[in-house]
Amino acid sequence: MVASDTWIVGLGEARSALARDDVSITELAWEAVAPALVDAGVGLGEVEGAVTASQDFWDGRTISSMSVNEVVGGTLGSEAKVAADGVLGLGYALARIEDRDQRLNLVLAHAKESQGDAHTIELAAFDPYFERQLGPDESVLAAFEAQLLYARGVFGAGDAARVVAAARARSRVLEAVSVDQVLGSALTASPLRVLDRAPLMDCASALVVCDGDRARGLGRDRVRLVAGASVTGAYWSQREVLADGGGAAAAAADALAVAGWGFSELDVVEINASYAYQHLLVGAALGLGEGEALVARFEGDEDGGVSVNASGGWLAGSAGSVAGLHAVVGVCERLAGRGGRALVHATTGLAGQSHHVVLLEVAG
Amino acid sequence: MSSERAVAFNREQAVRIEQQITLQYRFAAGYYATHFFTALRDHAKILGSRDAQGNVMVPPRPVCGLSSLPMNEWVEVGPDGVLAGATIVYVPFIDPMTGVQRPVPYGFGLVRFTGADTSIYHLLDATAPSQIGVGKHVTAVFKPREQRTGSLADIQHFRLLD
Amino acid sequence: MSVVRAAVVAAGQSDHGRRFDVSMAEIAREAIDRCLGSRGLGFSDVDAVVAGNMEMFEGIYLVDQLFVGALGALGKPLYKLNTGGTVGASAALACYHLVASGRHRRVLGVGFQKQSEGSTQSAITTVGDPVWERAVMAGAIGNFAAMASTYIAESGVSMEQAAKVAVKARRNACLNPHAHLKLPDITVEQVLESEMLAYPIHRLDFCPSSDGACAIVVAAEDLAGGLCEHPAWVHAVATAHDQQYMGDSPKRLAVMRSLQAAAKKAYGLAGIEDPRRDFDVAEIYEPASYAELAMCENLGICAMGQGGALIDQGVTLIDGPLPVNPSGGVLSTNPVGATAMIRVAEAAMQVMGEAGEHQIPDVKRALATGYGGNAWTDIMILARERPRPDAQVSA
Repeated sequence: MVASDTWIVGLGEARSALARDDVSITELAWEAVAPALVDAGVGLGEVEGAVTASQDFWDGRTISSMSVNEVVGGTLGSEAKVAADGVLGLGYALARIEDRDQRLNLVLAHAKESQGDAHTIELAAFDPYFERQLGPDESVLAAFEAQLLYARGVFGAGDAARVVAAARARSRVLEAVSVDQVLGSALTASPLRVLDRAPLMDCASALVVCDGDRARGLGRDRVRLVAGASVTGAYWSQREVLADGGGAAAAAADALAVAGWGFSELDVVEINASYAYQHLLVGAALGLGEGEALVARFEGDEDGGVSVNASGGWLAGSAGSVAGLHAVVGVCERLAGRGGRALVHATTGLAGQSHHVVLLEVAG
Repeated sequence: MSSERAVAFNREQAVRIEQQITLQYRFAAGYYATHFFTALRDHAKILGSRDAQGNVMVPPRPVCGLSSLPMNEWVEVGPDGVLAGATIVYVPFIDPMTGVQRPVPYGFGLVRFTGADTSIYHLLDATAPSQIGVGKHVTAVFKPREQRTGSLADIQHFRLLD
Repeated sequence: MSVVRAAVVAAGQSDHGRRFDVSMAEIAREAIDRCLGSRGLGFSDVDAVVAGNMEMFEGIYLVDQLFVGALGALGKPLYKLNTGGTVGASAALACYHLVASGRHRRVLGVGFQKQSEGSTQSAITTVGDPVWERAVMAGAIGNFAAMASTYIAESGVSMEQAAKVAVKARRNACLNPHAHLKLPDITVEQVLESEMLAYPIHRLDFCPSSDGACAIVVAAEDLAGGLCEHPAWVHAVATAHDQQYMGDSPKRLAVMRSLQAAAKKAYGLAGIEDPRRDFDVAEIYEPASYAELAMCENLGICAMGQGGALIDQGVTLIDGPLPVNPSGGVLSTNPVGATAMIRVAEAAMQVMGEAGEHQIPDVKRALATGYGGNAWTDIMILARERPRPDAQVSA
């Protein structure tokens, strides 16, 4: 496999908040795109292709990318939308750049989770023949998984609460919470509590991505997009085993194989999922540790030189579809100057059904 | 083989599960729409956004896709305009704002306000094809101030001038 | 990474129509099984899947995650695209990019929709911007009727000429075992006497609402010849969208900016100088009779304003110099998530020589277009001849 010569040359984010009632989706997206273009030193008219990520059900709009088309260079230009985390969109942009024809791409993910009714939207993802009449939402499925995970005896609700507290301590947009506050918050579906899940937010993140020649020409060849991989999991009620992090491990292995890296060569790992228990599941599956040793990682123990969720990840403030790109932005900012190799993980689907991984190499 | 099965497996035999989902949303109109609808509600004025090249867009927006330039200026347009497209609708639709079926026939068209480079869809005060046509002049009929709430419905419809 | 040449090597479709006998997963499988089965391929032969479906129509959020098994995507990358009417073509284009990048070798594209399962008009209403457009929307029909009025004002096309397109489509559909609406005895008079939905669009001027699915396989150049005797090589892919709101494009369908822009890009890439002469067949996404004529003009198949003369002269009939939509087109079959992929599949079938009763003789170059959203366009040009190794294919 040939190494990728694709670079992230610009980053931008909208101001994220629990509710951005002051902006439309178009304006929220522009708040992320405009600084990304400035960062890259390119104008909107120079964008050759755009890949956007959003969910029609959350936007309340069929073809939700219509709201953002004009601000991503889609007018008389090429744009395509993925209904998944933006990291999958980044994987598609990578293909469009590697086939050497659309060399400068804009990748945008947006979500205004404050505008929709989460319960009904999530209900709409359940099997319409056998499950919907029971009125479930994602918390019920997450609860099944968390129950199973805790019953195995390696992790408990207290560990998940520590992951939440650690993430909130690093958040720039959400207030800190203590372990006791997490464990004392209201039950949603036992054993899960309100604070076990990342709050719904309004966010947008944008990246400008291009081929090596263009990146070197711009003097912005600092963050290489080394590889991407994605593993789609089975729908929950068709899975043999629930609470299984195998998909994340497989996606990581695929990406590392393409990059020719060993897992131990990573400096930074960012795990993105909406529920705290999923971090323990995925962390263990990736081989970051077991039990207390793994929980300590999320609290800042960089044993072996790998920092885990130093940004706090989704639990520190992001939204579905956006979390992966938000983590990419965070990694680039964190490693700027220092340099290093990063693995960014993200999920799509109810309770993290499918897993995506991108690998980045930041120049020192 | 499957089309044979389709014929054999007819409508009466097929199990079809009835379901209704009600999706509730609260859409933030944002800066540009708020500015536009405030002017419409308070002053019965129509505003467009303009970029440095002079493109004037209604609805207003942060960036003009054609020029790739930000739209930082406001310009008053209309209330007169020209029909860019028009039809008489005969098939009843449920009005999404009221849940009530709109009485047919009714006029529906694309109106380009004088001074704007784009058109918007709205209702026309017409019930027969002979009354409408591309290029005909129209003017906005505003609801009285006390009935205007800051939405497109503050314009009742467009009246044909010729 | 050198660019890999890619071809469509297999295509399959469900029997489109009102399919109360199958679920969404089953209709997708009907198309996929026919597609893969035609080449003796199984799910294990596919490296990645691209799926298209507009989920608000059936009301299933994360529809791709629900039907993973049926789509053959378990354990693989699954790119669920969502670009409206163009989604089937956007998915085909994504299949192309994934293979051309060299990262994937055989990619399965699937478009599917069961419009009988949801409220089509409600879903279409949500295409409109909630703040600016939804309050006054009159469904797809109001929009198309208004666009038709603009086109008539520009071109002078008559209702009779539009009706001829409607007749051509439904008669062609009789030669297509998968098509939804087959009307062998349809006449211009019947079209003009059918219910007027919104002036000037009659019921028979407009597409049906269908259940259906379509699947294609795009393969890398070293695999293509082993899978298919006459691979449909991808010579050009182009996408052009428009501005944000429905009234932004001044002449809408009459002068369709995105179609002109995408065609210019695609023709330049594929070396098309005179589309009427250089293409042997075209599968164009025409949701209404008038649209086909307007699109032929904007594609340069005839001069602007000459769409009426084009159909009067019989140029685009199935036995004419440039058959347009020998499959019956969108006017005969429209399951939104699949429709644009059906255009690509039908164009590919023509190049591969597998279009059965509606096969046009001796097809060397075929054009496929997708339409949707706010007058968005996707184009794919397929040909029998392999492209040059250094040819640029997308823009």
